[in-house]
Amino acid sequence: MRRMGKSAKLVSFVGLTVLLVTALLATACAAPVPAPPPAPAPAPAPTPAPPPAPKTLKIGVCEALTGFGSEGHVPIWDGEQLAAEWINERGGITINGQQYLIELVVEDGKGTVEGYVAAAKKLVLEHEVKFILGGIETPFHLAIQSVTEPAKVLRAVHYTCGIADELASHTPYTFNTGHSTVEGIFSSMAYLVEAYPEVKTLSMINPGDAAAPHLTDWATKEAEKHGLTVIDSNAWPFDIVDWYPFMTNVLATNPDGLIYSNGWPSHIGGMLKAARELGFTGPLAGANNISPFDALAIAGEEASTNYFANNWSLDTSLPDMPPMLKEMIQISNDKLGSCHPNAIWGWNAVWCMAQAIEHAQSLDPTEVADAWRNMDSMETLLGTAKMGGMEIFGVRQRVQVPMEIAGLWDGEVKHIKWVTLELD
Amino acid sequence: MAVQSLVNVLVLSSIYIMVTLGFALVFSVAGILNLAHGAIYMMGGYVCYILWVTLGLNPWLSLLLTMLIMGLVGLFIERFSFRPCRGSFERILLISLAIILILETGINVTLGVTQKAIPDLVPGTVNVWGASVASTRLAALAISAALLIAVALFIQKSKLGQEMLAISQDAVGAVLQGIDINRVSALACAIGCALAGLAGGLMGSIFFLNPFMGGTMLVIACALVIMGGIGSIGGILPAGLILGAIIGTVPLFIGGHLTDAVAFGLVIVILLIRPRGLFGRET
Repeated sequence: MRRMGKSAKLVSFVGLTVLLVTALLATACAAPVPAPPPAPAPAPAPTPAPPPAPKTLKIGVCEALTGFGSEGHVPIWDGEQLAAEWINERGGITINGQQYLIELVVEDGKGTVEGYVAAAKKLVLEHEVKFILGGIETPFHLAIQSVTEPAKVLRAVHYTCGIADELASHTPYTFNTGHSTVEGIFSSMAYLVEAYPEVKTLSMINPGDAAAPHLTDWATKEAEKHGLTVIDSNAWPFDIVDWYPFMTNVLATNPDGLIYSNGWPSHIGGMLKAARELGFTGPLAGANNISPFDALAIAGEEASTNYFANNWSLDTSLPDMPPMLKEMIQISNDKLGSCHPNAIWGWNAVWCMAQAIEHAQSLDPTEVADAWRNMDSMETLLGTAKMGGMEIFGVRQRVQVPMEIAGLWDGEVKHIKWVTLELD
Repeated sequence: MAVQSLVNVLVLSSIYIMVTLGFALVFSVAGILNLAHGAIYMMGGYVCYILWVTLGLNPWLSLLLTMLIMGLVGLFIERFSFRPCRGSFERILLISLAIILILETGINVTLGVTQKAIPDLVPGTVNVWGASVASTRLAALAISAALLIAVALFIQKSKLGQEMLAISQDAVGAVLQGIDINRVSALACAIGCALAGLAGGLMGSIFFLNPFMGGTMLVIACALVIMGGIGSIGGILPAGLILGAIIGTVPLFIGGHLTDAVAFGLVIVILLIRPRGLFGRET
């Protein structure tokens, strides 16, 4: 018998080793012998999948917290915050089963054009918001718009003066959830004729901005419809302090009444006080919304009479006060200790934006804008508001919020009536 | 309208002069371009509001206390802000801007941005040569005239006033004469801030208060001091009348929104014709 050589031994050893390793591996990977199947158990009751955790929806806010106009914008910011809390307490916004809680991100426009541009850019570029609230005065409104429209960020503005640049076909991402001066001219002129039939001539007072000639045109046409004549138009500088020289000129034409287009309470109070001190006793009609309480504080009780505009009386004793407005006033009093009329604008902006987003069931600003444009109506603090804007702006981007006419008589704030304009 | 305009011009000029007096005193005497003067004027208005409206003190007492409080503020500012930086225009400029921001923000945060108004100092209106004017404005006119005379007499006749004049003409020489420049500067600042506070209180009664109201008045104060001539307290009177006349009558002829541009355009023209101002010293 021949004996195995060294190489043969090596081959054998390797082969045996391979076989052994292979066997070990096969053993390790081998499926276990299946156990005998257990007796079938009753099917468990189906448990609903837990709802997804709420997400955050950032909405940008661009207001003048300091500087020009801050007296009006700070209360708007209060209203925006109250509305966001109120909406979140009721589940926020639901889109395709996903809940979103609103988080407001505010930037200060500082009451200057460059301040508003910077604030809007910060919201869009740094905070990357797709929805923004803010805009009242024409120059600042346009400043924000110069950022939001190219960026396709949907914006709810509190007020428009009614000039084409503010709300038009070239601003598809801008919606007005408050009021406009033009509509204010319509309602105030109608009440002026009703309450002061002796008034035949009017002098118009505007801030010295781009809207002035446009608003004078609207006022002149509306006055003619009512048999009135606008005999003069005067513009005041934004930094006016002493109204005497300006009002001396206004009153030089001996108008029966005065009508102003826009201004903050300090302006309205100042012009009212100057007019009365210079001997004018006729009516001062306003076309915008301001806090009559603030105007009263500036003008003083003695001068505060025969003045009215589309103001907010906040009189919760009124039997026909809209319930949601009454609730908002109560919430503001409870949480902030007071309620400023301008909070209504802020609240409406947030609430309308939330309704539009939920109606669109989308967070895409373009889709939301398209859906919003096609809504018939939405809820506001002053009741159901129809969508409109074709008649004044040529686009259906205006939430036609009902208005209140209120003013100052004998040193007190008084409610006159609620007005809903029938505009397309 | 002509008579009403004349009355408007006189009242407006008196308001501008009153606001400028304190600024002129500090600038002309202490040599400090106190750009915080507008903010101090604003703060004075709010101090007066708190005393008069919030605490319910007598209006005239409120104005006097306002002057006292703002005078103390002036002492503080001079001692701890301006004196360490004396001689350095850039540092004083920066300090002034810081004071503006601190005061405006402080008022904004504590008292809010809503405009406030102080009640009429003297209620009612008066008929002057057929023109109607608020009694408070006439009171401001009288106070302003009295203050202008008082300050002018103070500078010309009192020892402290003469020391202030000496420092404004030649600070080194004044020191060599034994005048304590620190004491005199401190008192000038105190008086300047007291006058600013009084102006703020009166303007709060005639117009309204807001945290940012100082800016406009600062511009007017600078214009009047430069137009009147640096170093000349009396020059403020004709400068105030000129600026008041321009601002009071421009709206009658062209748009009111062009008032400021036209008014300060004319100021530039005046300065081009007479660079040292109406009564300024030759340098």
